[in-house]
Amino acid sequence: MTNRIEENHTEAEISRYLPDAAPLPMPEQVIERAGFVSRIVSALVPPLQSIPGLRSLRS
Amino acid sequence: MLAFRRTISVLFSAAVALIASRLAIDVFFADGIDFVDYIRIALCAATAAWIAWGASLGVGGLIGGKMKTPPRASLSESGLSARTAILIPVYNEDPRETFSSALAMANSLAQTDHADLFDIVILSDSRNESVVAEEEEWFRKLHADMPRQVGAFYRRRTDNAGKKAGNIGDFVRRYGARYTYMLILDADSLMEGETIIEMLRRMEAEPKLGLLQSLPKIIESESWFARALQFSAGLFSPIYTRGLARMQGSEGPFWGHNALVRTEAFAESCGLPALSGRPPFGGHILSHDYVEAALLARKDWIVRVDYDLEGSFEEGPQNTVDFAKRDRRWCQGNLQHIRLLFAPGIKAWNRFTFLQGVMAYVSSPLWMMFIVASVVAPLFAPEPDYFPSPYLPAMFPKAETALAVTLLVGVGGLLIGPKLLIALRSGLTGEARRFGGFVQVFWSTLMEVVWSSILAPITLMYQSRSVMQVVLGMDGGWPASNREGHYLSLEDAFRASWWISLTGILMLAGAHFFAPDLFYWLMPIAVPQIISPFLISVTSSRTSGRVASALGLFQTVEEFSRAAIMIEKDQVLARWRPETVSADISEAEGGIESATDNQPDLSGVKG
Repeated sequence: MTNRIEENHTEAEISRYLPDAAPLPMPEQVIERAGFVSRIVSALVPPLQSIPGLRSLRS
Repeated sequence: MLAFRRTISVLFSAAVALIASRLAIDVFFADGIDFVDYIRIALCAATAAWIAWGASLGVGGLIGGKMKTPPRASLSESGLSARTAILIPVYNEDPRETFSSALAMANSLAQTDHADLFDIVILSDSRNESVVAEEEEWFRKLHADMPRQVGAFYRRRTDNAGKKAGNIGDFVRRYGARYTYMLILDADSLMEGETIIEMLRRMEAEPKLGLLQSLPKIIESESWFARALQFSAGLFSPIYTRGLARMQGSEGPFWGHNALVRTEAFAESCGLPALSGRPPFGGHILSHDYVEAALLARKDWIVRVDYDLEGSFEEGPQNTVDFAKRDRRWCQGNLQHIRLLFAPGIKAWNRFTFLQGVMAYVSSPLWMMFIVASVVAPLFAPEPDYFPSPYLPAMFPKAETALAVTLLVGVGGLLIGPKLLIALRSGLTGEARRFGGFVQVFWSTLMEVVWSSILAPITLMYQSRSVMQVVLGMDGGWPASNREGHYLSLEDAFRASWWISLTGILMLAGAHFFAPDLFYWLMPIAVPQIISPFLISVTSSRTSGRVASALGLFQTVEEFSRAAIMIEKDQVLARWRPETVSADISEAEGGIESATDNQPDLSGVKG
């Protein structure tokens, strides 16, 4: 492996001293069940979140 | 055996909840029966069960012999098949601190026979322009100083999708095939080279081991608050972790850092999608570590915590407010796991772990609701019937104070008992000598119990507020961790905790008017809350830490015998004075311009 400075800065990243690319697939996992419980949670959460002024702590 | 341990612990918690409920029935029904009493009994049962669960972990860790050292492979036989990336994700952290840790670990690895297996990779998600500029400067310094055998890389994303989990995921997708293992660290992590090698040997010996977690000890604490936390983590945590490990078996924990991961297992199991909906319950998974551990177990990879591993360190928050800020983030992450309780294919124990994470925060508002319900209960109590029978003399309701005291002592015993037993055990096994002797340990334990009892009503309020904010849909965002901490003036502390003082005052006023019998019972909760600005400010100072030290309090193993890796980092920091970094880099690499100007190679560092 050679330490090198990437020739081009891509839009996605500012890169310095990167290792050579060696991609490894990392498939997204299924972690939500599209069923009864999810429907209940989905139904309950939006009304609570719709309370004005309580959306975010970010400045 | 695993099922037996789990069953015993669950039964123990259920039994404690039943006993607490029975006592609560007698106490709360003494003045007549109303619906608030039923609410109080249910809350009492839930909180008692949660405390009993914690106690069962402590007791589980105390019982049984020493852990047998797991099988270990010879790395000489593994050759380069054991290549490992040491990943250090950073996000607006102090680069001098973080990169000096990286160099200390590289130097420590260089003293072993296997340093050539490792590359250190800084994965930056920093957005602050001045921090980014400093990172680039300090990285070049790190790069120039690295030992020949260990590689050093730096990558910064401009798109922070997925936060820390997304950062690591990006690395795996782009460079993961190069490395058999990844040692995932935090910006404040510090690990001995020998510890990393030992973890690698254990991984190599067990092909199904997907993740090996070490137990990081807290170091570099300066204030009273931080030193108490450090002592608690140093003395109690190994025993609680042993209890946890015995309970979890191969479906163990991942705490997000100081853990070695098999890259192939991580890649095939841990691609995290964003949850449907908006934050805080939707969006990117914040507490990704618990989820990744569950996903590894779902694909039958072993996830294990080896509590016998020494030489693994991290830093903690220096004051109550920084602790509460970190807790706010963890709270949102853990409550998000409600969405994953019924995720497909997850093992039952991992679902239970999600539930424990939720309870860790929900228990605070439950306690708060219990207190409020107790204050207002007399308003709902039925009129006393002094003459239930015309043939008997007047009957007055009994206060059942003795039963209430029994309930309180029982709950207190479950909280304090395991800590005292751990202190006692340290004396019997000789472990206490490493902490300065049994007298020091016992004295520190008593003071830790007193201090944590004073602090508990304050953290209870912060946690209750966090839970309420998350439930109301407020996203806490992604604030950078503040581990270096600072002294909080009384004014700053008041700004952060005035509402807690107000709550304490209202609580006592409410008890005075509505439930005078409760007034003195509530003092241990309300008084610390009322004086919380003072407590938070005083215990955040370095002076308070020095006072603790002078009193022989909260001393840890590393204070008596500083670990080699900590000494190594001290030496790096002594060399890396902030004002000299640019000059040093210019001298080492012929100027910053040449280092950033698309030069293909940098001499002296293996790649």
